[in-house]
Order: sequence, then C-alpha cells, then structure tokens
Amino acid sequence: MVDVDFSQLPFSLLDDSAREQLGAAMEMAWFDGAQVILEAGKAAEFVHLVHKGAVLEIDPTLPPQAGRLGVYGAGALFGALSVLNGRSRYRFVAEEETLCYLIPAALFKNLCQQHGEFDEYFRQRLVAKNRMLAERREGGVTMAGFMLARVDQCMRQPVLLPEQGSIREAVSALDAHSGDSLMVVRGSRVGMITKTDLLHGLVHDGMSVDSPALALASFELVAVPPGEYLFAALVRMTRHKVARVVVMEGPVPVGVVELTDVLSFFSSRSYVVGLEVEKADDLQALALASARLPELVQALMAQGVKMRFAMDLMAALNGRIISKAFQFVIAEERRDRVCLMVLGSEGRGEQILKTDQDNGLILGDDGDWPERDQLLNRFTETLLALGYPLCPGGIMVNQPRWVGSLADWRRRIGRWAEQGDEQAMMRLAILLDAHPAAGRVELVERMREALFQRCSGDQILLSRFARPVLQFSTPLRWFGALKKPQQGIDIKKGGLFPVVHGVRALSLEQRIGATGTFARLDRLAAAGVLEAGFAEELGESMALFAELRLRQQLASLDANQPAAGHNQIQVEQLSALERDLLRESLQVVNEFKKRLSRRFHLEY
Amino acid sequence: MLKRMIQRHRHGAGPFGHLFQAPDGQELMALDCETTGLDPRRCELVSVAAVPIRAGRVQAGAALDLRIRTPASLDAQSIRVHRLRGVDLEDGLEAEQALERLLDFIGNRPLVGWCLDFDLTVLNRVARRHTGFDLPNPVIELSDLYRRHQARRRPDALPDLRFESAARCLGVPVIGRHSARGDATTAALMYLRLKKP
Repeated sequence: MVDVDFSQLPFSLLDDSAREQLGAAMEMAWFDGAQVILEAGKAAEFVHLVHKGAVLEIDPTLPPQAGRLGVYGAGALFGALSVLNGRSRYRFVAEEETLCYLIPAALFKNLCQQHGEFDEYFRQRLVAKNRMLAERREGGVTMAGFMLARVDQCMRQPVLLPEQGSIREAVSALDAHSGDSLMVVRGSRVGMITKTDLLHGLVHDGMSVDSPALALASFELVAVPPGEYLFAALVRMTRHKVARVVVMEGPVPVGVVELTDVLSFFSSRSYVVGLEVEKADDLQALALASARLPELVQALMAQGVKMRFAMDLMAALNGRIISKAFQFVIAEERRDRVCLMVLGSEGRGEQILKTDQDNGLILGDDGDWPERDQLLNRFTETLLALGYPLCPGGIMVNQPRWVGSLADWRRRIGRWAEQGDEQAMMRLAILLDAHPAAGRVELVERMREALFQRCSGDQILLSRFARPVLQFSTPLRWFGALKKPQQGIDIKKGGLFPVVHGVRALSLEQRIGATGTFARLDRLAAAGVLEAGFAEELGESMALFAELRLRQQLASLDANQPAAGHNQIQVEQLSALERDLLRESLQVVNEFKKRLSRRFHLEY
Repeated sequence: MLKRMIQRHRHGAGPFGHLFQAPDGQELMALDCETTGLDPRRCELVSVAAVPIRAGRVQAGAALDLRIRTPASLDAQSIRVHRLRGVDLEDGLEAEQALERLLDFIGNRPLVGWCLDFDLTVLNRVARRHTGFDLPNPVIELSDLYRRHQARRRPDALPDLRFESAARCLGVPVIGRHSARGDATTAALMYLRLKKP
C-alpha cells in the first residue's frame, strides 16, 4: 500500500473503491532543490502530495519577496487547482530535495466528477485562495475590510468637561488631549462644544474666559453606535453637514469620530491604488489608477516604510499595470505564445517613480503573427498614455531590435558579446535584468540561460562588462570627506550605478538568475562571493542612495520642475546624520569598486 | 553468463521467450522478497513485491504484491521479522503461481534491489523447479551503486552497508520496512537518488 493516510481530508471524502483506485495509480518522484516542478502557464499532468521536503509557490511576474505565495510542507497537496483549471497560474519550485506522491490528472478529474464533496473541497480552496491573494496584493486588507471598517476602529476618546467647567478649563482640556471638541453631560443629555463654539462665545457673545462653557454646548447631536460601519458614519456626516459624530453606547458617550480621521483612514491605504488597478477594465480607468502611484509613494515615504518594501510594492503595482495594458492590447491566444519582459530598472524591480519604458518581447515557437508590429506599436503608445515615457534609447517592443524568437535573442547576445564595445555591453546589462511581465514566463529564463552560456565563462568579456563601474569617480575627497561641487553630488553616477552594475557583473559571472540588486546580494553572499556583512553594507548603501534620490525626485515633482537634476543631491540640504551616512555609504562603494577592479582586472 | 546463454537457447522460443529479449531501457523493476529465514538455499518465499520505475518516477501504486501460502519452514523467528503469521498467508498463492504472476509482471525489465543475490537465489530455486531456467533479467545491485556513490564523496570512510543507514544517508524515507512492497518502494526511491545526474 502507498504510505498515504487516506483517512485525512480531502481523501476521507472518497469512498473505498475510489481510494483503492487512487492508491493503485499513485506514483512517486524526487525533485532537487530549486527544480521547477510545475511551470506557470503549463498544463499540470499530476496533482502533487508532498511526502518529504518543501515546495514554494511563486508568481514569477512579481519581485521575489512579493511573489512568494505559499509553502507546501510534508502532507500538503498542491497542483489540484492547476489540474482543475487546466493549467497552472503560478510556478511551483522545490525549495529543498523533495519527495512527492503524484496523482495523475485524468484520474483526479474523474474522482472530482464522481464525488461531489471531494470536488467541492477543492472549489472552496480555490475561492479561499483567491481571497487570500487579493488580500496580499492589497496590503492585508480586502475590499471587504475597507467597507467593513467599524466606527470603533477610528474613533477618539471623548474629552469630557464637568457641567460647571469654564471656557478656560475647556481650552486647556482641548490642548491637553489635542482634540477638536469636548462633551458636557447635563442630566441625561449629552452636549458638544467645538473649538468654533468657543471662539464664537468669546468673540461674538462677549463671554469671559471664566464664564461656564455649558451655554455654548449644542445638544442636537448626530450619534452613531460603536458597532456602526465607518462608511455609514461618513454618510451621516455628509447628510447632516457636520464634521463630527458622537459615538453613543446607550446613554453614554464613548467617543467622537472626526471627518478628517475618516478621510485619512480611507485614503492613505496602499490597497486603494492596488484595488483600482485590479478593477480597471478599460484603459482610462487604468490610466487614472496609474496616475495615483506618485501620491502613494509619497504616503509610503511619509509613513517611513522601508525602501526595500516600497520598491517591491511599486514594482508589483507597475508590473500589474504593464501586464494589464498588455492584456488590453494583445489577444489571449497570442499572449500565451510570447513573453513580455521588462528590462533595466523595471526588471530589477527598483523603479519607484515611473521612468522610461524599457521592454522587449520573446516570441515562442509559432509565436509570430502578421499584424505583430502594428499591435506592438499600439502597446508602446498605450504605455505612453499610462504615463510611461518613451525610451530615448529605443529599448521598446515597437523596435524590431527588441523583439524576436529565442534563436534571434541568442544571435543578438552572440553579436553583442563579439562587438564588446560600450553600447553592446550596456545592452547585455539591460538584458540581464529582464523580468517577465506577461505571457509565457519561462521564455525569459531560457533567454537568460543562453546569456549565461555565452558570457559567464568569458573572462575578457566579463572584464569589459564590469569596466563601466570605474567610469565615474566617487564624490569623496582624498581624506574621505564629501566633495561639494556647486551643482551637488550626482548620486546616480557616484553611488547607485557602481553598486547596481558591480552586483550585476558578479551575478553574470556567478550565473545568478535573480534580478533585484538586494536579491542578488543575498545570493552572492550565500555563494560566498561576498562576505555577508559586506553584502549587507552594500544593500544599506544602495537603499540610502535610492531614498535620497527619491526624495529629490518627489520634491521636484511637487515643484513641477523638469526631470533633469533629479540625481543631484545638495549636500548642504542634508542633515548632519544623513551627511555622515552618505559619506560612509560612499566609502563602501569605493571599497566595492576596488574589489571589483581586482576581481575583473580592470586596471591595466 | 554461459548458463544464461544456454538457457536462452533452450527457452528463447518457448512460452517465456519474451523474457529473454533485450530490455528497451524505458522501465526498471525494483524487487524485494520476504523469506522464512536467512539462508537462501533453504528458506522459503513468504511474499514478493515488484515496483515499476518509469521516466524518473516510482509507480508505487502500480506495484505487484504477492503472498505465498504458508511454507513449512515458517517459524517464530521469521515471523518476528516480517510480521506475517501462518494465518495471514492462508489465502496466499502457491509458490509456482506467484512466480508466474511475477514473471508476467516484470517481463524482461532490468531488476533493481538491495542485495538482490539473496532474493534471486530464493526465486531461482522456485523458477528452476517450475520453468527450468533462472530469471534472465539484467540485475542492478543497489548496494554496489551505493558503495561507489559513497566512495566518491568520502573516499576515506568505510561505507555503512546496512539498508536503513544507506536510506538515511540518501535522505530516503523508509516506507514500511520488512514488508516486501515497502522495501521494494524504498529501494526504488534510493535508485532514483543514486542515479541523480
């Protein structure tokens, strides 16, 4: 007998003859660590039951952190939904050496047809999973959570004033609680006094600071119970044209909900933008959602969200927008035969504000079609309409140079590697950062494999590839102080680029398929190419540069300045602490450059 | 070798002729027997199991698992090892019937197993009596593969050639130890690990 406990869910929903059938058809297979068990978009041949080991479920179009959807350990079943849907939406990868039982897809479907409960079990899992994924995308709160927020999640403690309290006492109580309104209880009735009421009393009614405040209170209040939906409270405020409602539990006032609190509760959530992107079913809606991204970035920065997390979130959102745009333009049966990849900073998932569109297309077998150029042109224009400027270097799918079958790409890689000049090296670098955005994602991996095959072993090529790292000098003086040229320090040339490109060169040498700089650093440290401590310092430096640059960009976005000058950091405007951090980070960059020039023999 | 050639000559055109044809290399069979004792010349078959290996997968569910009717030499000692009592075996097959079913199932596929010599000696005693020839299948000895595998990794250490410790070393979970089917499945999984590119 197979070593599976059939008395557990979901097998307990089957009858004996079905279990027997199942037992007789089960197979077993090993998967090595990092082996792809089931590729996204592929038809699933088996349902897998993990016997030993662990399997990751990954959305390959998202950055590595956000893309990890689930882990399946011993006893867990995966691939069932893929079998029922016909193909897998996500990629399943063995995290370590894994032994799985395999249930043939045909048998599994049969069992589902014959056993209603068994089928129902998996359908419900599908629903639950979709909900879970939606929650993740929207930052932990669903649309339901948004609508279902209750008044008591958002109310303030009421500031109570004794019945005989004077205006002076009222003002100091407001100051102490930094509130906008206070409550007075007289007998069984509750009254409210707002700051405006106090002003009126003092200025218009000629009261003194020692007069009792009770006369100013209004007893006609709009009240809600604490269990009421916040949404409903907002509706009542609008209807009664007031800016606050009192929360009453029976006769006792337990809180106040201010209009400003409600508005900030609703608007400063990243999931609002995420939701808008998901819901958009035409270009216009998508463009509206897309235009809100900078606002979201500002909110995130204001909340002090970690740079790495903000990058991941923005990359995920940008990825969704591009993928949606691709859906709008290209018909489904075409989409499945090609792969849209985003390149450069977008591919690395390090683009926070929208920059130029860098993308390319890989055609699968029989992926070509006659009106291709026309459609790709439209796609480029669509992205332009969504706020992604055209790439001045022409790295876009409307250029035939960035579209082709795997064989074409292989030829191009070979040609660029032969040329060896600066432009060709930059193209290889851009291609190395390719990340799938839509379509058949595994094509990108195969293209990258070809790239590794041609380049990773070629020392002369690697040396040429890494050379631009030394192109710009680090803006530090001889004794390690910051240089302060009049136009500011160019943070991109002096800091970001050497780190990003150096890490990229090392990844090319080590055949690391990850595209984000942080992920690459982790992998390099794991492979022993960089010490873990140094890799961490590089990551921190990179985050600092990105943050300084982003702040500069946001500031000039506010001032409606042109894009130029984004990278210039005015040292004088930084705080002393930031200046110190910047100096140390630049020293880390210097050290990294030295190591790179030794490793790739850049000084000859 | 010579014996095999002679037997092929004699039986190649007989009812078991297909057993003597060269295998196509697509499929293997992991094989294991439980017996009444540890002396292969004297002990009797208690149960025998074969698990197919195809395309890098162990077809655990499709395994053949046969029990043989209580042999005379079943004693307390062997019951303690494989936990099959005389009563459990009452509805078992005759050894000859079991052999025919087994031959039918494994065909000409190469056999994989841990210390197959022992199993084959016992099986061949029945086979010679019944069909007149030894099992002609090519044999892949797991313990040899394992020894080579260990020699490459740790040339200085003497490998621990017990079935359980080898399985542990390869990270293979032992499934139903001392049942023919369990051991055959474990052996099949070990084979896949040892053959890993």
